[in-house]
Amino acid sequence: MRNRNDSRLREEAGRPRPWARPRWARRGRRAGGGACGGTSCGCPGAVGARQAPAGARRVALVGSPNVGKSALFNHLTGAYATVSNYPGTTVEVTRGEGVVEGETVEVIDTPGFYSFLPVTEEERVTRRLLVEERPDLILHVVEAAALDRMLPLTFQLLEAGFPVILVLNMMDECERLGLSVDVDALSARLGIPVVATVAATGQGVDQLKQEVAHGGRSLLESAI
Amino acid sequence: MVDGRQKTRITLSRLAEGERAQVVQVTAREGALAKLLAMGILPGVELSLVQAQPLPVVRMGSTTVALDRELAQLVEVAPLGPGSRPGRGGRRRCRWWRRG
Amino acid sequence: MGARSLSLPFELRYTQPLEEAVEEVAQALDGGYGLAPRSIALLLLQGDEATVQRVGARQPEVVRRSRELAQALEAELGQPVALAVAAERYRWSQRVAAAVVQERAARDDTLGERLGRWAMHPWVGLLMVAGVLYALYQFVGLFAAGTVVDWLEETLFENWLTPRVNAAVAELIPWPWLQELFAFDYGLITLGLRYAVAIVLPIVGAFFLFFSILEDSGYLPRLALLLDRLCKRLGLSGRAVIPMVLGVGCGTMATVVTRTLETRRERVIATFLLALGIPCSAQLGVTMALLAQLPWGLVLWGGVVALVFLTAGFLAARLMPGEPPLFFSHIPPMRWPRGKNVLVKTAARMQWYFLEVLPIFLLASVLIWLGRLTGLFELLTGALEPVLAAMGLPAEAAVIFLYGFFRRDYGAAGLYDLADAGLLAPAQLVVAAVTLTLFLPCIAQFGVMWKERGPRVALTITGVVLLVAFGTGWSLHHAITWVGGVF
Repeated sequence: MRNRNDSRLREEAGRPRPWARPRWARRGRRAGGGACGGTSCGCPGAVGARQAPAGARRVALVGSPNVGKSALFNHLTGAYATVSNYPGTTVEVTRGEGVVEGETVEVIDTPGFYSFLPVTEEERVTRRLLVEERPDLILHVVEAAALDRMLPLTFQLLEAGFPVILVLNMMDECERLGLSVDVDALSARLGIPVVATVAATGQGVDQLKQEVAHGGRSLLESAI
Repeated sequence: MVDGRQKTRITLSRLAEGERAQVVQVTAREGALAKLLAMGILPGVELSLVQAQPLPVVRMGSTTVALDRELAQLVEVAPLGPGSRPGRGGRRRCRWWRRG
Repeated sequence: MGARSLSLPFELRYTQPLEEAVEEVAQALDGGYGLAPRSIALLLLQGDEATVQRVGARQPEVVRRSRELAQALEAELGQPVALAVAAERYRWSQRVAAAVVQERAARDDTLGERLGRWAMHPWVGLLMVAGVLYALYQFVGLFAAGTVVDWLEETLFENWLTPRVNAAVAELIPWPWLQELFAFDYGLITLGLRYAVAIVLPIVGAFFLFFSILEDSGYLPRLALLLDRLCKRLGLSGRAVIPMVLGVGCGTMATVVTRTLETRRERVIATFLLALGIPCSAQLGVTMALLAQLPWGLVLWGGVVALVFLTAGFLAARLMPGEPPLFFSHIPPMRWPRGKNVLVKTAARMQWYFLEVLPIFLLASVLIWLGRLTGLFELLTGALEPVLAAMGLPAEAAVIFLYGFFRRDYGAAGLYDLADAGLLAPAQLVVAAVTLTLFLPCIAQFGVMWKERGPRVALTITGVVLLVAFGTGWSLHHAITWVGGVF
């Protein structure tokens, strides 16, 4: 089930970005189907996705379903978003373009992801996407009220060598539940930026954009 | 909250509705294990049973998951007594944040 | 805050003996797997299938070693490595969370939470299912399939576009045999395009919209959990509810979505049941209209189709080898769906639908054209006639069954014409409606079955479906005759 309308193929050509896609990442892709596990997906050679201009950093929103990834995606990107099935699957991946402090970045809204040991097709797709496209920065979106259940994925993303910004979303809900989270202490403990947001209203999005503008880029290689 | 009154272990499928418990052991293997882990059901986790019919539904913190009886049988828990059942008169002191 | 470094100060070290094994495997890996070596090492030790395959292709010795290490670890820890790893991460997480999260006040229930709990309630939930189905029927069955389709078909095509296309084609193309490729009863434009735009677009669009709203509201997992036990009897899990519901909209899309089911066994059973007993919205609409004047016929039709569906599922569950599926699902809170998200999703699905399915409808038009041109269709309808006679149906019905395959609703619509012409007695009508519902899915669904499940499964399912459809028709005919004078 190829998606014939996929803009990726067009824009794939002639875009050398060695820093963003190291040798091993390329090899992993060609080795056939990336991290795709199940017999369920046909896994044709996946194509790297491109929407933003050549060389734009790719920022992926990652997290369990229903934590507000899509709402954040809408805040980070403009009007244009493309939804397409990930190659060889029925799972939808949304991509768009966002501007942070004058820099254009590609924003990817990934399917629900609980852990690197995938159970569902959505998870398999997200893992494939992380392996094959190797985003330059990951925004791990978590429900603030369920922090302890969601941090294990933060650990796994860090373990895998990704630059991560932790986004504590739904802080309003968290307060409603009578919980408060010390954002600075959390950031200090994890050693990564932590931003509190309320995606429904857009609260905290500006600060998130600042973090995105400053985070990620140069540390990719050293992190591995 | 742990009153330690009983150290009995039962499978999650036998927990009473509204009761709280701590996961003691997960006896699942392979695929079933991966599913339970994906749901965050692992030793040490505290949970409460929201409903038993038609399938067990479990609440852990602010997360709710449903699992079939076959999976629930692979989870051993130590009951901690009745918990505040969500929606049935939990503590309702502070309402100020709703006005904002 | 922005200038903070992104290096990795948080120590992600496991306790011994796990850490030692992780280190050893990570050292042995030569990189090139897309994730940091420690990550890959952990996945290997946890026995992740895909990682084992990928690493095994280049460094089989590492896979062997990690398997040994995992076995030793499992023996030493008394639990699977995956469990130990997850438990450890959860401990870190609890430690961090305990230090930064403070509980200040108590929680309160929101409307969404209460609604969400009712939706899972053993019987309140079932009432809500009935309500949702009723809303679906109103919106898709009556509004989209009725009002909108009627307007598009009659106003746009029959009264405006079709006569113009017919006239233009008749003028431009001198050969009648080629004229028919584009225009008239089975032409590319007058049938293929009309079908896609006037029937499929509104019905499928409305259905996808409704489905996206359900999806975004968090209702679907609740539906799955309510129906899991019923599904288990049919060899499926609650997860299969989603393709089954989709199948009422479009069986072709639903067959593609069966991919999300976990085991091959479940996928095959779901594909089979979709092909046999789930009528798509196009077909359902016409059948309803057909049997509207015949209340007992409608009940009989529904009863027989449901019975066949359940029996087939029950038998499939017994006969198909393999493990029964396990069901689990996160239950998200119920929320108001956001307009923009719903629209973007619906639009994406429509786009997919048109790119994947429209070509097949156009192809079907070409095939019908070829079949008529070469006389192959007459041959096939001739072969069908005795089968139909055994079910007490007139020879004229053969055309309907054959064309029904190329355009599922056309079969039902053809029945409507036959009944109108007084060629079918009520009993024959019911027999034909039941047989046609169970009969082969449309050609698009067949194509997707072939593509998704492979030729062997697709052909086997087709054979079984044909047998069951005609067998049921035959039995029903004889049963009705036997009951005799009652009607």
